[in-house]
Amino acid sequence: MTTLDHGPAPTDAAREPVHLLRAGSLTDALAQLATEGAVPLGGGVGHALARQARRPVTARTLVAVADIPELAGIAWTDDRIVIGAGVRLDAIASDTRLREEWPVVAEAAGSVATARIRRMVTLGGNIAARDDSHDPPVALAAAGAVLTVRGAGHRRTLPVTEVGSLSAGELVQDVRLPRSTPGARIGSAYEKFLVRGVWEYACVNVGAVVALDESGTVERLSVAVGSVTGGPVVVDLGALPGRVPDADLVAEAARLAAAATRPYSDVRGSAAYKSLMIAEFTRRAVSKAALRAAGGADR
Amino acid sequence: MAVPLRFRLNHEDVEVHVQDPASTLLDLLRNDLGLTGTKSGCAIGYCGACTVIVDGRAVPSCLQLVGLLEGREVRTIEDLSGPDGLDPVQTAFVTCAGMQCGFCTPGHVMALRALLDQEPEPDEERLRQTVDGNYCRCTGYVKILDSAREAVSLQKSLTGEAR
Amino acid sequence: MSTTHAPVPGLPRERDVLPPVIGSAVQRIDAVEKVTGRASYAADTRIPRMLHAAVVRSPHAHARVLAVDTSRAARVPGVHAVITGADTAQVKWGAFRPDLYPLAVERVRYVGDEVAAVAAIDLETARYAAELIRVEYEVLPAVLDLDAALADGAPLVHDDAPGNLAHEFAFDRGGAREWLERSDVVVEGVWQSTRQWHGSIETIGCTAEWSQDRVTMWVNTQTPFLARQRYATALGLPLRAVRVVQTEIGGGFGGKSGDDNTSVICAILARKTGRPVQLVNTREEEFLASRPRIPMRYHVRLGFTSDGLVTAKEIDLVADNGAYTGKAQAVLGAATVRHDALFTYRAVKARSRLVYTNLVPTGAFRGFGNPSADWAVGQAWDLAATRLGIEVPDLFLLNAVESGSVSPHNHRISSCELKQCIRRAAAAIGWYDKRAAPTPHRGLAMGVSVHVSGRRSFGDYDGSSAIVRLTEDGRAAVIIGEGEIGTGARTTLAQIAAAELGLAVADISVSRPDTDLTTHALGALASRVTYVAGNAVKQAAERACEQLLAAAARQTGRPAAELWVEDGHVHAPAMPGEDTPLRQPVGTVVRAELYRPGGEPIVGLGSFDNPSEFPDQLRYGNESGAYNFVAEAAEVEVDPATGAVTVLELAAAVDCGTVLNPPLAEGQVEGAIAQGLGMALTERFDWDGGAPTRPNFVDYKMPTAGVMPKLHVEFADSYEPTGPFGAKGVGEIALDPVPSIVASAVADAVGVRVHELPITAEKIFWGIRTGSTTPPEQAGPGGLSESAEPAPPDRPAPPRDRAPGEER
Repeated sequence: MTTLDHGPAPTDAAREPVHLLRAGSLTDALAQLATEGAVPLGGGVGHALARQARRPVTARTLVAVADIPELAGIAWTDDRIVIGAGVRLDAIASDTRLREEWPVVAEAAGSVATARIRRMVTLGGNIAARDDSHDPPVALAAAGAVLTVRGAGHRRTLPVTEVGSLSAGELVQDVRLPRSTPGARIGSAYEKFLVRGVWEYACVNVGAVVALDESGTVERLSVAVGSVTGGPVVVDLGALPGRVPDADLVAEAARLAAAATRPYSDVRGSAAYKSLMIAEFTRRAVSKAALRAAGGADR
Repeated sequence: MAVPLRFRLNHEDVEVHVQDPASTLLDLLRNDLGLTGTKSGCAIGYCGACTVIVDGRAVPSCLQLVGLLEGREVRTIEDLSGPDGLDPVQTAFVTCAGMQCGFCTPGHVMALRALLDQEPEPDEERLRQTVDGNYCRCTGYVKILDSAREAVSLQKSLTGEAR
Repeated sequence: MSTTHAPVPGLPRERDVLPPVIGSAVQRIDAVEKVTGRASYAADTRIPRMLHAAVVRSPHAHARVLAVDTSRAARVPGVHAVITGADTAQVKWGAFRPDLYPLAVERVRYVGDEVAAVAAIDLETARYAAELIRVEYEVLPAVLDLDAALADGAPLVHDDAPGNLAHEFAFDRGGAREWLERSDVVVEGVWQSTRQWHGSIETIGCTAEWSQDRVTMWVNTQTPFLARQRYATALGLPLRAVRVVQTEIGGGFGGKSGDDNTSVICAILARKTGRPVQLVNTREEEFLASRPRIPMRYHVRLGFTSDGLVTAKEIDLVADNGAYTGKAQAVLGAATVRHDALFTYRAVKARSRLVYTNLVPTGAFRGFGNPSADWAVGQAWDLAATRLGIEVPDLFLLNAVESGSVSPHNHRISSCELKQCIRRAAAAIGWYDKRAAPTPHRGLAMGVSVHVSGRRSFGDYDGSSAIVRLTEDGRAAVIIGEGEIGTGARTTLAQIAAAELGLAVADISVSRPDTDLTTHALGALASRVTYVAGNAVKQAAERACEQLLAAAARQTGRPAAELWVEDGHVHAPAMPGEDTPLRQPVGTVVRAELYRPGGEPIVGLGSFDNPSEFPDQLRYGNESGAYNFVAEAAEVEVDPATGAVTVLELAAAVDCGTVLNPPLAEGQVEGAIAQGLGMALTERFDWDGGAPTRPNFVDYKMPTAGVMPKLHVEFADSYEPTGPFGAKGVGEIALDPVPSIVASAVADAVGVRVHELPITAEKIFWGIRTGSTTPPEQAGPGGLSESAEPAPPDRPAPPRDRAPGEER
């Protein structure tokens, strides 16, 4: 046990047991979440960690949502892919069609921690944790994913970067990715720099999406950067679309990504170093995405 | 108020009454059920010492909330050996000197057991990925990887005999 | 100058013909217990009515404790005791320089210093109650790095240590400055290491129970007898009132050698409650309040003749003691003199200072100062090779010691295959081929080290004693207090006994230490068990065997000289005129000896004291009876775009005398290299206010299977005349050269030499980019600040406790 500071004295109420409710359906879950002090529980990892860190627990009721049918599975329609918020990261990482169509998302999910952790963590929980260095939100931001958010009696959509606007009682139901038209020349890639080689949080993490037109000109280019203040940050790439994906374009994207983001110093590196690494890994992600878009190796 | 919780533990139905459904499987095993073969090394999912098998997959029991266990199937290191002897994974660790202090060993054994249940013939890359999820501070992993390879071939030969 | 203690052995004795069990891959005697989870570690101890404990620690690096209010905690249902410094004997304790109270008295001196503790019916209740304890502090100015501690007028960590000096000494053996002045080539530099934690997967823990006026402590300590002495002092009790029993140990590496307060607090709580109490460190406590490796800053000057012969070496060493001394004082000695037993220096000069800071106290960690010394001095040697234009292995071979060498500090080296090791490591890594065809961004390096086999530093004794009892069922019980921390020591001791007794290893049991029941022993430190305890067990087994044969001679009427033991039986050739040779089970002989009128059990006693000298105040004296050596070579690759290092291959050639059990010895080498790589590359914290910002595995990254290079491990053909069957220690040696090799290989790959551990990608990156290994805005003289990285412009505050893929 480590008591490292005074802080406010915990009230005796803090020792009251927490209730855990297992929601059978989305309707159940939303009703349960509408009560005072109720929060959604995905794989339970974040909650277990908060307890271990002995952070003050305000939630009185945990509503287990990972297994309710409306949050399960990956559904494919003609124009979108709908990933349930209860889907575990390892299922996303190993989904063959997703790896084909949105490698940035599958690679990001597969880069989180170890297989054992990916098996527990739900996509919704990973996003709702609002941690700027989490991998899936970076990839989803680059891909332009949208969250379906449900509350008691309402439903709304949010860009993944605006998850901070979730309010009490709301629940992420699913994550929606656009589909590309057959034969479209789209490529995406995820780059995560493990500065010590050992699996850990990223020093920097970057997702990139490149779409080319018939002539090989960049039609759409999207880069998102994590592990930075306010991250993931979708980088404004200004006038880069319309150019050919050559070394100059890649270098310019890298420069813009570094300029648009504010990394912080921590055990994985100084802010100055991370800025340069953001440029480097943006270069790598955009190059790989462009190569994939052009139908090159590793598509 | 204790909440009843029913699940399968090492091939037996168990019903336990937990005060706190948000406590962890690791604490339940070690403190309430006396199954101390599962070790605690960090309590935050990093070291892998507390790895158990839930519904056939290796998970860190320090992150597994007991309230989410209802109806699920849990296996711990205590399930692996019995009167008939050791599990092939355990035998491999014994013959390859795959442990030193032994504290991380149950976690490694369970992680590899889960892998071999899913994929009886994993390649080198899969073995390495699996071992990569558990810290060991003693061995430098050389003999743990030797043990993992030996476990694969032991299991293969045992399966062959059974046919 | 020296206190000559024991004669150093002269000419090597003939090599024994080794019994087959020596040098064979015998299965560990504890393997099945460990793979089944049945081995009982500190936190697995279960005693009826046992309580659990939690500790309240200082959040301040330096503060006066004005008041501790425990009233709310004491009222929590289920709490049985709450204690503060007032409930302790208020006696300072410590291995060399008593400076630590069991619980703070008036002052706290680092973030993590123990202030109060609670015992309750379960851990959750104990932790909850601990959070209700209110401590009022007056924060005092703190010294958070070496330079601050050494500055004029610096705040004092301890009032009785002026200048914050916990310990210092200096010597000049042979006139080093004159030799340096006359040298053709002199290289010079400053290198510093950093705190490295043992990272045992099992944390420190204790269960204590009182019976009348004695306490029994089940502790995962490497050194039960030494720890007992200190615990008795800390508890204000006579030695006889404390019994220590060793549990299974989940990794030691020096970190469980009894310099911290956990066990002491546990015993105090057990007395206060009248019930058994268990206290186990959390991982966070292990990082805040165990005794990590000492950060050391070396200024090294090294001189050579133009043809590559070393002349002299001068070092100025300052070491970060942290807030309390523990074994750091002894580590300082090893870190100053040991490496002088590697090369034939004409003169060596040193000044060494151990400096108090308001940081995590430091202490013993595998290598015991030598990894820091070998890193700093090894870097100077690597620079010298470049300056001299001589390949590193060749420069080492020119200057390496040999059997019979004597160091400037009177290290008398009886067996030494350092040159063989250098040649074999060079061959294993393909040194000259790789040199002939260099690959861009790849670098090659070599380092060497020397270690002891036991070290005379805990008083003038480095001995061990053993009892071998032959049992009536034909087995043998080895009773010895050395213990097992995971290395397989009990297995190798069983092999030694088996070899002497003619029994199978499976028929030998080896005790765990219990200060009431086993022989006195110093325990698992200083790579001593194989050599020192091995000799004691060997002698005890020899004597038991002699008694067995004497008994068999009496029983059979055959002369003892004709008898021998093999396969668990006493044998003799057939008598003249008879067909069948004599073959009597050992158990039968033992039983008959016991059951005869006036019969006696067969018990052999063995004792061995390391033939070494207790070094004097200036560290002159032959520390050990046997020295082990290593040469390691590595090839690394650096990604110039990021500075990230990949260690591709690492070859180690080790001289540990006879290898008693190859897989166990290899395991020591492989594990030591992994720890060395962690020290070199990945293990560090971000610091703020004198403490790691996130003291757990999220930030502290130890090597995993995925980052280990291809390893080549070889053992030199070697025989130590004073060792059991020719064996020497092997537990620490392979760690020592790793940081230096990695640094040199990086320098070889991309021309950047990092002067402060760990060798992070970022430092290399800046080195490539700017020529300086600190970020541009940070460039300047590098002090030994724990926060070497720049202050974050906008770090999210407060630091978050996180784990992989955290979700809510």
